[in-house]
Amino acid sequence: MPKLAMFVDVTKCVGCRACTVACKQWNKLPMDKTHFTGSYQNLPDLTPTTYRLVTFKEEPFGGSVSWHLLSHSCFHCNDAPCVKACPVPGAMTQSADKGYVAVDRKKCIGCKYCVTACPWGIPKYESKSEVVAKCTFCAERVENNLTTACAKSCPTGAIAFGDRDGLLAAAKKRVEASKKIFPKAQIYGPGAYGGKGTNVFYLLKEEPSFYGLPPEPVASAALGLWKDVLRPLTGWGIGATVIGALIHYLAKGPADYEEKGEGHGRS
Amino acid sequence: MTNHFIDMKNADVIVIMGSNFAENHPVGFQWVMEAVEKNNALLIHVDPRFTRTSAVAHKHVPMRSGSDIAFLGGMINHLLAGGKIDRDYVANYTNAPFIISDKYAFNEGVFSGLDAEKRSYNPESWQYEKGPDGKPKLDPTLKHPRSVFQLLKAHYSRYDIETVVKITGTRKEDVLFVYDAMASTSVPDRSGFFAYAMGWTQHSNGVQHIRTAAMIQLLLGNMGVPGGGINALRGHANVQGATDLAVLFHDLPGYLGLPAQGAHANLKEYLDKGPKAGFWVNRPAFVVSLLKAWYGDAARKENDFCFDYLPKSKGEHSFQQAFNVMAQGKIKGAVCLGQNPMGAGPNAGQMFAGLSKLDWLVSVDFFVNETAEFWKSNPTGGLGHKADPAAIKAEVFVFPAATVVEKSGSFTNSGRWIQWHEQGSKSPGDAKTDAVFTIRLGRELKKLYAGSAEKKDRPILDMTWDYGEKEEEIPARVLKEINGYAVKDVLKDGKAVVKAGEQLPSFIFMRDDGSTAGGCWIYTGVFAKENKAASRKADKPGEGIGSNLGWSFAWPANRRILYNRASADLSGKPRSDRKKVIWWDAGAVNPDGKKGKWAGLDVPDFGATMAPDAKPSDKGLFVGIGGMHPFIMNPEGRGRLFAAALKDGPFPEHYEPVETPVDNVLSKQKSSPVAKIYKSDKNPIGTPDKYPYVLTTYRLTEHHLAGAMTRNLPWLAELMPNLFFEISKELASELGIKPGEMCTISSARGAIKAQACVTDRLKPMTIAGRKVHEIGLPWHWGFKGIAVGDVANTLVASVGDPNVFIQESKALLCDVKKGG
Repeated sequence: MPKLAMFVDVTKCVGCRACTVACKQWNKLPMDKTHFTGSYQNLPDLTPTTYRLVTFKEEPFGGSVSWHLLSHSCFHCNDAPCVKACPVPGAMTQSADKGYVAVDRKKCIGCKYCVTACPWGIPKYESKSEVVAKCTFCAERVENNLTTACAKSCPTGAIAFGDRDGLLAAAKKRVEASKKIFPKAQIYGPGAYGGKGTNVFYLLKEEPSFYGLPPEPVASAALGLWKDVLRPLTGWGIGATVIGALIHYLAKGPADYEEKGEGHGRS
Repeated sequence: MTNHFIDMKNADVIVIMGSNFAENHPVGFQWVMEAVEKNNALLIHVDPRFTRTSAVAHKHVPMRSGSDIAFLGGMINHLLAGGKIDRDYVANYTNAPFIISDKYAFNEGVFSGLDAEKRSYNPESWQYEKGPDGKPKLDPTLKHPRSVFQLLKAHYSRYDIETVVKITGTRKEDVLFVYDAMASTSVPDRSGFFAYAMGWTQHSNGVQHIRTAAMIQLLLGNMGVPGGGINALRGHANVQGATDLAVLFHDLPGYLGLPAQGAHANLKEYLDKGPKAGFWVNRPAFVVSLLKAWYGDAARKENDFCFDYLPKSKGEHSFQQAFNVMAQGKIKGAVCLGQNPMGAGPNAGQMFAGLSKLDWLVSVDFFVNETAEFWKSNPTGGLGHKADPAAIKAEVFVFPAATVVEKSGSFTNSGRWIQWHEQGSKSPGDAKTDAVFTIRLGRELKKLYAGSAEKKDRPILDMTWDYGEKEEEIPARVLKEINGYAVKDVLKDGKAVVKAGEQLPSFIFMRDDGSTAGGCWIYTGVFAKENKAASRKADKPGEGIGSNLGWSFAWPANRRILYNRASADLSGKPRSDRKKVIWWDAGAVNPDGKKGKWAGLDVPDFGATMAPDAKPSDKGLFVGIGGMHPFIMNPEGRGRLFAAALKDGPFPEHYEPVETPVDNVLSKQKSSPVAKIYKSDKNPIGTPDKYPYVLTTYRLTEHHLAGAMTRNLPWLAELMPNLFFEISKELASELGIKPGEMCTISSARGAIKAQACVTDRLKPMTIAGRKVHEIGLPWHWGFKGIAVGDVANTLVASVGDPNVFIQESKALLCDVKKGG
């Protein structure tokens, strides 16, 4: 099991978005053009240039209101569907010891299989550069014994970075304490994929579905087909378009970030 | 703050009121989260809006903007009526037993001594009754009908729960929840604090909001203890420092008070009119040291240490008044250094009118801000704010400023910690630090006045201004001057205790004979042998009460919790083991061989060797203060439940804001009889028939103040791109406003466009039987930068608190219409 992880304690998040700014700063990501549409959130979803997003969800609660703030990005799964789905060796890989899942932009062919495969829709396809982009777990920082930029910047300690076992133990303690106030409080992530789990996990105040998270994250059905049936039949470097089209047909087809995002690969 | 950020972890109950702590002070908020997580603290947010602070609080309690004193006055009544006070603390450490003059009266919302025409009080009748010995009379039983305690009870008995609910619009059970939560801290083993910010200050009776909370803390015995106190959250990283160093019109550094024309013809008059007991008896030494720091060798005993050089107040010269006078053409030029009045100033139309009359304007900032280009946008020019630049004569000079990471220096945080930071990178282009700008300006002025024989030019010519040739060394040199140094040997009992030229280790070495110099007495000790602001010896996490005495320097004298003598009982023992700070160690041997000193977890805010049974002395550093008097700055040594010091009454009283949709439920006096209302054609006051909704302004995490620093940064502009306003679903539905829709918000002063944030986080309220809607409006936007929008301050009136003249921007009237 990889040694590193991030633990996001939603009960401590004040939605200040220092994490999202630190992320953009470290990764040198440009501003996304936004317009006020009625909510503090402004950006509806992650984009190829926004790896981390705080969602703001408001709902009536006992005569008052609840405002649920969730800072989220890639879960860095063990046995990650995106890694499995990627047809190009080395384009989407998981670090065996650190646990993070990384995209190699030079190797990525922009086929978007990972986009379809991810249960949370994390990787985003950028039509301009024709590659996908997502949270890097600040690999350059982590490999140099630094914390991730988002954890570093979090003022309330809602995002913790460190030893996976230690954080899991802390999460278990926190969930017990939190249940007094939030009866549905639960840990989300470590139990995914039959216990293989994710390396970014959450303490949620509510059921996962409340935040728009799948209760049991599963890779898309197409992934199984691809991994178990189609991939063994193909040789690398050929037929990517054909297979891409087939998978596209089997699955719903990935949502492009830009409305005219075409080109499901470069081949 | 009486306490400090890290101390917040020690609290059992936290009431955030008049502040959006989590959004506007997210870094300090970690200690609130720690109190909740590790100390099992109850976290309550009392606020008209449900904010990101409310989102993590255990309970959000909504109330109408401008009704805080009713809410808190009701808490005083609840504590007194239910006997939920710390009686020993109240009897021994507050002025509850003091008898008040029989001339004091309060009737229909008005205190004795009002001159209604001049809108001011004569506080003569608010004084203590004195005995034949000239000392105030006390009744230790607290039963005398004119004792502070009985007057307090009578005054707040009017604030019963039904009245409070009528005024605030808060549900009765929610009000009682907050009262009982705070009441639980009346035992010495528990403590709680109030954290506040501009939600309390920006009212026509803002200072009294804070006083009400301070009185509650005295009644509960929460002053001077860990996790207690009144914690002001300052709105900018160094606002505390700016206040300490008197970047205000009415003061001199270290809260010495600006001399006034007429009242203080010479130094003797100025000093003689100061306190005759309490630690302030040392003020002459602090004043003379300040004059020596500013005027050097020119300041001599024979010439009153250049007292004549100081500007003398002619009355009110506040920010609001300055722009009023400016609009009358009485001010020729202005330097805006770290200031953007066109975005930040109340009543933007008044700001525009003022700036338009200038001959010249200097704007020093990172970006060309709204003030530098004020001539492009007239807030009173109708929707769209069209201006006629040709009609404006002012010439504008823009200087690029260095950012905080491009300079070294100190910040003084809300907890009074003076913390040093090093320069991180070099400034681009010709950008200069504020210190370099100011020091070069001073040098140029000295050159221009060189050779002048005119008396009026002496203050500039005699001003000490030697900060060396290396501009990067300026901040450290300035801090050294602020700390103070010995001009000649400092003598005590004929012996030199500090040698000439040495830095002063403490303000107790300051003298009124010209042998010492120091720019701000409360900072003395920050840079004695070394720069303690740069000291970084932290306590071990989880150990002690978080004093961190080796980390930075907290004024005064590195004390972390003010009034900490009150944490111990009369005999000097901790009142509670759980909440102990300092205690009397009778066996300790002092350097002079005498026995007994205060020991503990903080620097004692008291005479270090003054025994608990010490009788008040008429000599020394603590005139009139006995060993059981923790509030050493007051001549009576006690915390004041009744205070004659403020301009609007000895007890806080609820008044409606100057603009309000309702009558005052408590009295016939609708708004404060002494609230400052500036006379100007740009300042009409609105009425609820035309402007039916309550408006409150606020800030967001993503932007800072008037926004020049943040609306120009792409990543922050992305997070909060456009000006919006918050409106309840109920009112939006009444007006047919959809989420995100552009609307027009208007007040008697002007109109702006903003997009609707339709939300459940604001709810209509029932006030005195009437439905009242409230609108929330962030004020960060302006017409320069990446994220642009109308200036919210266009709507705000030129109305101020009578003590400090801060604007009433947290409660005013507006109208909202679909479209814009």
